[in-house]
Amino acid sequence: MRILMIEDDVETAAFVSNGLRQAGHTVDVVTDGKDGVLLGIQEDFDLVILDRMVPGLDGLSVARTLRSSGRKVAILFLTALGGINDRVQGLDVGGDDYVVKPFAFSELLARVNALGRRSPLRGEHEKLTVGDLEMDVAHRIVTRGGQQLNLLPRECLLLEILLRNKGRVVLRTMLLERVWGFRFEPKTSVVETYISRLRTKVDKPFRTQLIHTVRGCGYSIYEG
Amino acid sequence: MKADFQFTRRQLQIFAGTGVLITVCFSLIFSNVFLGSNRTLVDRTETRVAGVLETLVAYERQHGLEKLIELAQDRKLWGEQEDPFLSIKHEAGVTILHTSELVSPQDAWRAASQSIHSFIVGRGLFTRRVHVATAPLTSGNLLVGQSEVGVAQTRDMLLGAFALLLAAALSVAWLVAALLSRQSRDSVKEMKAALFAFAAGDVERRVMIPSVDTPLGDLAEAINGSLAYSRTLIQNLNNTSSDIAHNLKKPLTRLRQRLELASKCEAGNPEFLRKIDECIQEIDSLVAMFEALLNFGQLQSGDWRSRFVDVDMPALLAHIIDIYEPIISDHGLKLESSITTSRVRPVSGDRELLMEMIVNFLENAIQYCPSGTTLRINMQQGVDGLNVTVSDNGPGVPAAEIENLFERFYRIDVSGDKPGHGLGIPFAVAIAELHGARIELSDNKPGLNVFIHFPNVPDTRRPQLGLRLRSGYVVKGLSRL
Repeated sequence: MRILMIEDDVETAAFVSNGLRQAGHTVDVVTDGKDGVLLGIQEDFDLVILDRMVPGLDGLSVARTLRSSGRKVAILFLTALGGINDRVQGLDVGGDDYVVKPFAFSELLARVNALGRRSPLRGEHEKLTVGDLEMDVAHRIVTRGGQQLNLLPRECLLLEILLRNKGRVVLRTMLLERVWGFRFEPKTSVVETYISRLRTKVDKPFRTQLIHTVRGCGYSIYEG
Repeated sequence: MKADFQFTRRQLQIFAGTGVLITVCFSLIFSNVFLGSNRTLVDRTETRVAGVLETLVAYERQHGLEKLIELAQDRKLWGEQEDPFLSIKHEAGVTILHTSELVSPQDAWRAASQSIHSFIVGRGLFTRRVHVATAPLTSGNLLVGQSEVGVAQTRDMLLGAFALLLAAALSVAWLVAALLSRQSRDSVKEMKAALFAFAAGDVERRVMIPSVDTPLGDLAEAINGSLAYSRTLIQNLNNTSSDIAHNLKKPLTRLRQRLELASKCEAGNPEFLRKIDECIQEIDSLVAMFEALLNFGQLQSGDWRSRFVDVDMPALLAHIIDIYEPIISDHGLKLESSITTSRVRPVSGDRELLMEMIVNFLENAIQYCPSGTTLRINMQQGVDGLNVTVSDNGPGVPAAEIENLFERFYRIDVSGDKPGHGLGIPFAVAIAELHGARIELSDNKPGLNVFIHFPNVPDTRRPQLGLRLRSGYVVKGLSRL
């Protein structure tokens, strides 16, 4: 992905851009909001990583201007402003995701990757597969090794999100948002309980494990 | 529906006093004018009667009775009501001429025979006093009479005018009193509404100043002054928070980044990695607590209410129950629910926040109840609003400690093996406040009962004031409002 990062803190900018480059992305960094807007409009980026408090032009205005320019670019806020109100504001001006500082690089990377694979067309006979597991998305039919698995709707949704991110990490927080609609961190082990139930149905009766835990981060589905 | 204006006892006293005063004044003025005019009237009429009589007697002496009768019959001279009338009696006592249609000759002559020389004609308000005088002629007697017609009309008009004026004055007094009372009632209502709106987060709200130089006007100015000051304080607080966010988080972000980089350099040293992980967890926990505190302010300063939608509470509860059933059974607990679905009014609110509020109470019960406990989620539509309860029959909270649950950072479990910062319930109460809902915690005998009430009418919403300073501290006495 070609990524534009608008960040005035040099250390953070280096930390993120180095990490993203190692993950195979191309990153341009600017430290001023106005420069960021100009570059974002002129060049064809896939993603803009945007700090909300940058000199020149604040992050919200940058996002608004980029959106009104008509460029189809994903916007991810990476900011110290982490209140519920701040998040709402960020998504209101057209942000696609919101990561609050301080952050784990693995979380940022997972979210960046998720944004890069946005909006795949959902055909009527769309099938998601990993190994011998197959999911008919439209009819919610899951089979493994030709054997139909009996999944509850929420387990199905959980599996679908993992399958759509096959081979990549899906963060706990991303699952909470998408499967349960939680904007908050629950005190009980909601995600763990559901993953465990899903594993009982998807992995336990079979020889190979497909759903893997990524320690302190999230889950991933892959073969082997 | 109440009448739009009502008098207070004091205002009624003022009104009654003013009315009595006006009536007495008018009566005094009126009686003075009336009596005065009456006196003049009598004098004038008597003088005129005497004058006419004298003239006519002289005329008869000169020209004889025949000529006098001729003169008396001239309608031009005596035709009008204003004019005097004549009556002539023959020596034998027979009336030979009488020019008045209003007054009978018998009445006139009878009055003339009495000392007062006057009598009343007509009825009611339209009575007229008639004055008469007699004098002997060369043969017979002459009577001249005069009614007070003209002047009496003036008097009647005056009477009417006074009556009208009195009525007008009294109605003006009543209207003024009514307007004053309405104005003050409206002002008080307005002040109350403004103060509640401010407390509910509309920090730009001010009181309309009714009129200067009145006690209410002074009060309104004082209120506005205080509100402006409070707004400044809230703004300072919010600015401070965002300043902290910026300035404190910058080093924390760098610290966390450096720790992550350090762990990459020492990938082969598991003990070192574990220590680094612990450091990172401490930073994350610190930031989480910090964000939670910031969110209190953001709930109140944000324009949340404009984003409110109609939330289907039974559906939301069903969603929560659906999510938590496996978790509850994994903890060895039971869940019972009774949710009314018919004729339930939607709650105007933010779905995610409402979910967070209810989940918070449910998760508290899951965390603190031993296995075997039964949790209950109930919802009913009451007459005055929607009632949601989350209760359990677990160990509960000692009565003396229940109020402490509203305090920030208060934790029942001092050993610290349960996650959390003691901000869950205060934040849930803040969410309730944003939605105009009220939260009550009570002893479920055994267990804890959480009662959440969403009133039907937003205007009757009672914010659990004081949350900004000490979360959940219910100001006593507000319930009267």
